[in-house]
Parts: sequence; structure tokens; C-alpha cells
Amino acid sequence: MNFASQRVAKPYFIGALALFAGQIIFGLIAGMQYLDGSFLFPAFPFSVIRTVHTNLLIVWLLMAFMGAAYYIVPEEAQTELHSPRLALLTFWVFLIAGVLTILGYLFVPYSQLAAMTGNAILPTMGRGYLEQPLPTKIGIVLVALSLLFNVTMTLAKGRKTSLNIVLVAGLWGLALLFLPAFYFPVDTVKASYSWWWVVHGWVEGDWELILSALLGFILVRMTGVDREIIEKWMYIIIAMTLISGIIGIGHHYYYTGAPEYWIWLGSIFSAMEPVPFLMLVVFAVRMLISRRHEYPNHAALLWAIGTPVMAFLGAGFWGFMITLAPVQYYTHGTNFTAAHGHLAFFGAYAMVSLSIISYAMPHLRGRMANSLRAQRWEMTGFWIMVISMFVIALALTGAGIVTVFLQRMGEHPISFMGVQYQERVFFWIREVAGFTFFSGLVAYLTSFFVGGDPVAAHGATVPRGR
Amino acid sequence: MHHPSPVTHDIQHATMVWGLLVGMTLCSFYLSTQLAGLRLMSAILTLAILKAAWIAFDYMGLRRTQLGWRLAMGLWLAMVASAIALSCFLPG
Amino acid sequence: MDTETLTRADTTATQPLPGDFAIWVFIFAELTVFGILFTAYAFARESHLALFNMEQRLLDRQTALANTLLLITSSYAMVRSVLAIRADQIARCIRWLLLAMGLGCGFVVLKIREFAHDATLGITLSHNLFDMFYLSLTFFHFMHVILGLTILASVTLRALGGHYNASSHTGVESAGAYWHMVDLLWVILFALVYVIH
Repeated sequence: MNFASQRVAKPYFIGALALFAGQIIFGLIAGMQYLDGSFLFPAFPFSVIRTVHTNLLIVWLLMAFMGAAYYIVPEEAQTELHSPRLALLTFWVFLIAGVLTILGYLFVPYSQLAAMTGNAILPTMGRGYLEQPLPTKIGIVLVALSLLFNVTMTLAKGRKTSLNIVLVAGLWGLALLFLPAFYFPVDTVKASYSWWWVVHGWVEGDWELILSALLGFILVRMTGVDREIIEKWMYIIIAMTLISGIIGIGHHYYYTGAPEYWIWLGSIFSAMEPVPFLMLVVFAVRMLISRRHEYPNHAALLWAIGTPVMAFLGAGFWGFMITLAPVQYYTHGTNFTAAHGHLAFFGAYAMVSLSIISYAMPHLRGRMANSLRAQRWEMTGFWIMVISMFVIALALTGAGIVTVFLQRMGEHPISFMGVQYQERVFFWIREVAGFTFFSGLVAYLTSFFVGGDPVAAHGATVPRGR
Repeated sequence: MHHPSPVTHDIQHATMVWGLLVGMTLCSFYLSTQLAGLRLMSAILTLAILKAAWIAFDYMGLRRTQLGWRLAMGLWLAMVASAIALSCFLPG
Repeated sequence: MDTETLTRADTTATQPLPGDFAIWVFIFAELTVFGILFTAYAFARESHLALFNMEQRLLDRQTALANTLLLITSSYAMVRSVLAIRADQIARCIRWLLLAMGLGCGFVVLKIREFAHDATLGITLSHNLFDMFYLSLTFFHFMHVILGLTILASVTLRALGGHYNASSHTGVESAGAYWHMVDLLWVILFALVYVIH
């Protein structure tokens, strides 16, 4: 850490991890409700728990990205952050608004929440991921504007590296792509277009820019490979992301009332969406092979390599399985989608957030790397969480296959609830894996409190070669 | 310097490749306007296009490099060739 | 300097890849996208033969021919500029680059006129399956021409700034490889969409 103002990233990272823990706990409750429908009912019905689970995901990822931006932008620009105080104020506004919103979901019936928060003035509530009341949505825009103002001013007065420009451009895209959340027409076809542009415009477009910038930054720092080479990779990965993603998002338009050509365009272009993720894997592995020195923070290195691999599996492979229109015809809305959603969100965006936290937190705490003991805890957490999430994805895929065969194909389809009952074994596996995931998270969080002597940089050079 | 061969030789080679490509483009265009629907002509056309693709391959500098790249390019050309064949050999 | 070492590490024997390793990864990704598009076109044509044969006649084949010749010649200019920089002839390299870009711009102008003409004929994405393929394939390729021209422009600027010489010109070679890809794809598109019937 070279600039004092980077310190504002710390509360963002801590807040993000706390919300992450919350997300997992609500995930466990929701998983339990799959097994016992009356669990916590009627106090906390499934619809509410699910909303909290997905909203916490979005909020903690946004918080981690913001923390990452406040950490990276000054360091890359080689100057102090424009206004650390504004960044800190924004954090508290964001956190309080987020917590209030969650409490609103939990303790106020949704329709009442809508009435209380002026949904009648501008109806925006009700769509998945975008359940936030109007004031929260406006709050998100203000928080994003504050972030953009801060980092853009910092970038403007400092060194303009490609990496920094991509990161800041990605953040602008993030903010702009949130605006369709305010457009919720009565026409369901139009409504579904604008719905997909928000969260899926993020995950299969804009956030991939942020992801490659974050990964690029970590790899520049940890491998010592020339910045020029890393930036070149970043550029081609981004180009491929945009080439496949902008039209590929059309795989959500099948059967929604959109014109028929989307069946072709969506299928073909979304089939290419795994390519940028594959390129990320090649990129990360190559940079690791050609590293100039051994970086003392092995845990961060593990996250940085794990991210593209898991992102490729979750977003790339699992996404490809269900993307083609004829396949989607059968798998639409089954647990296949849930399997893909879990592995992709975790593998790509949760893991890249944990990577940057893993890299930056030791610096924010005044050392290059944590003690070996702390790193062991962290790496144990990594493996438990990764394997558990993989098991969750497999179990949900199994449930998805059962749904397709029993409910959607064959001579005598079984009813929805009948199929759900048949899938109980998969829901059990998912729930158990959810608990092991939680234990992994606990191990990961424990690593922040394990003492010991920090590992120092020994600067030993690794012999080149393969 | 990547290529030990003299520059003049490379220029001659490139010019020859360019001439071939132009010739084949004109040829296939002529065939398509004059002899529509003939399978034999479609087959010749396929060969011409494949040849063109091969030349582009040459242009792109893969001719003398690592096996993996040549294989990948070969696979891609095979994919395109099947697409072209599928389009050619159906009676129209 | 470092790029050279990295590139060399990828090639065991024979000759090193011209240009940058990363651009080749990108080229192959791009080729795969187009390969899938071509295959989809072939299968769609197979099941809608009559429609494809009829609609294809409406296309402007003369313009497509002119465009093919423009791109092929532009590629030739690109080869010459790479050869020039290998011989350390910087001014000549820039002249050939400018010619390559000029011819590429010619393609863009003709293609825009063709698209405008198509619009008056009522050729839209929703009109029918053939038009959907024709428009998306050629427009997607059109965007690649624009990207290629952008790359060529940035390489030309760097060449003007004296960044390249006989021993270090990876940028020119990378741009060349990409520009050849754009041309190769058009040669196939020309045959597949305009010619074969």
C-alpha cells in the first residue's frame, strides 16, 4: 500500500465479508425450506428468504468492487484518492441503506413495503434481484455516482494506465447498466428486456471487464510480469467478452415474445461466451509460469488462479450446457439454472472479490502477506468452499435433470410438486454441502484473526522455464 | 529478423499469392453467374475457396510454425469446409 | 523485449509465431465464432433451401466482388508493410499501411452503401431466415473490419512515432495477422453467402 487514502477500502472489504456471511446463512435457510416447507413459516416465507439471499449477493459484490476500486485506482494512478472522506461517507450510507432494506424485506410484508416506499410513484419493485424499494434504488445510484466521481477525479489527476482506465470504464458501465432497473413497463416483453440488461448485462458483459481488470492488477503485482503483456491479454479478453456477450445476452430472449431471430443469434453468440473465460485461464496460468519472483502471499495466488478456473466451469461450462435454444426449451427455470447461477456467481465474481481482498487486506493491515498459519487457514477455507460449491452445483444439476425428464418430457409428466418430492435427495446433498461451505467460510474468516509472524518478501527470483 | 529468406523473394511470393486470390475470386464469381446449380461447378468452387483459405493461412504466417497452431488452423478449415460442402452439395 | 522471450517460449522448434501470442489466441477465438456462424448458416440453408436460393438473388453481387478485391488487395498491402519493416524501411512500411487502411475504408464505404440499399428493399433481421443470416454475418464482419482498421490506425501512429524497426516490430505483425483474418473471413463469407447457390 503506497497511499494513505487506500485505507478507505478496508471498511468496504470488511462490510462485504460480513454481508457475504449473511448471504450464506440465508442460503442455508432457503435450502432448509426446500426440505421442509414449513421451516420458519409464516414468519419468514421462502420468497422473502430467497430475496434476501440474492440481494445480499449483489450488495456484497458491489461493496467488494467498490473497495477494490478505492484500493486500486489510487495505486495505479500513483496519487491519493480525490476524497477519502466522501468514500468513507458513501460506505456508511451504502451499508445502512442496505441493512435497512434487508430488514424491510424481513419484517414488513412486501406489498406494504412497496406502499410505504412510494412504489406507486414509479413502480420498480417486484422483479428478481431488483426487489429493492425505490429509495434504495435511488440510493444505489447516488452511491455509484459518488464512487464514479471519486475514482474518475483520481484517475484524471494521476497516471492513466490501461488497467485503471478499464477498471473505471467498467465501473461506469456498472452504473449505467443499473438504470434499466427504473424501467418496469406493464408490457411484459419490454419489461423482460430491461430486466435482463441489469443483472445479466453486468455478469456477462460489464462485470467481466471489472473481473479482468482486478485479476490483471493482482497478477501485475504478484508475478512481476511486464505490465504491457498483462494489459494486452486484458484487452483481447475484453474484446472477446464484448463480441460474445453483447449479442449473447439474447439467450435470455428466447420464448419471451422477442423476435424469432434471437433464437439463432442468442444461441450462436452465447455459445461463445465461455471463450473469454477460457482465455482468462490461459492468461492466469501463463502469467504464473512466467513470474519473475515468488510472492509471499500464497493464499492470494491460489485465489487468483482458482478464480478463472471456477469461472470457466461455472459461467462457461455450466452456462453452455443450458444456453442453446433447443436445450433451454426443456431446462428453462429448472435447477440447472440454479446450478449455473451458483457456480458462476461464486466462481467468477465472489472469488475475484475474495482474491482482491486476499491480496489487499494484508497490505491494508501493514504487511505484505499474512503468517503462514493464517495462510493455511485461508487456503483451507478456499478448498472447502470451492469443493462445497462444486457439490452444490452438481446436486442442483442432478435435480435439474430429474425435472427435465419427469416434468417436461415423456408420456406422463409429473406435477411440479411431485417432481420436487422426487428430488429430495439432491436437495439434501445441496443442504449438507451448504453447511460445509459455511464451515469453509468460517475457516476463511478465522484466518483474519490468526496471528503469527507475517511472511516477508524474500525477493528470491524463480528460475525461468517450464 | 524472423525470416532468413531475402525480402525480394518474399515480395514475389506475396504478389503471386495476391494474383492467385484475385484470379480465383473472379473465376468463382464468373462461375456463379454463368453456371448456377451445377454440382460439379460447386465442387470446383469448394476447392477454390479451400485453396483461398489455405493461402490466407500462408499469409497469416502459420506455414512454418509450431504443429499445434497448424493443427488448430487445419481443424478450423475442416469445419468451414464442411459448412461449404453442406451448402454446395445440396441440389438447388 | 519481454514479449519476444514469451513468444519464443511457445514455439519449440521451427520458427516463432509472427506477432504476439495473445493476438493468435484472439484470432482463434474469433475464427471459432465465425466457424460456428458458418456452420449454423449451412444447416439453416439445408432446411430452407428454396428460401435461401430465392433470397440470395436479391443480393448485390457486384459490390461484394468489389469488396472482395478491395480486402484481398488491402491484405497484400499489409504483407508489403510487414516486409518493409523487416527490412528496416520505416517510411515504406507506413506508406503500405496507409494504403491497406485506404482500401479497408473503401470496403467500409461500399458496405455502408449496400446496407443502406438493403434497408430500402425491406431486408431486415425479422424479414426471413436468410436475411437474418445475411445481415448478422455481414454486419458482424463489418464490425471486425472497423476493429481491424482501428488496430491498423494505432499501429500506423506508433510507426510514425518511430516505435518499430527491423528487430522489434511485433505490433505490425500482430496487426497484420489480425487484418489477414478479417480478409480470410470475408473470402469465405463472399463464397458462402453471395456466390454458392
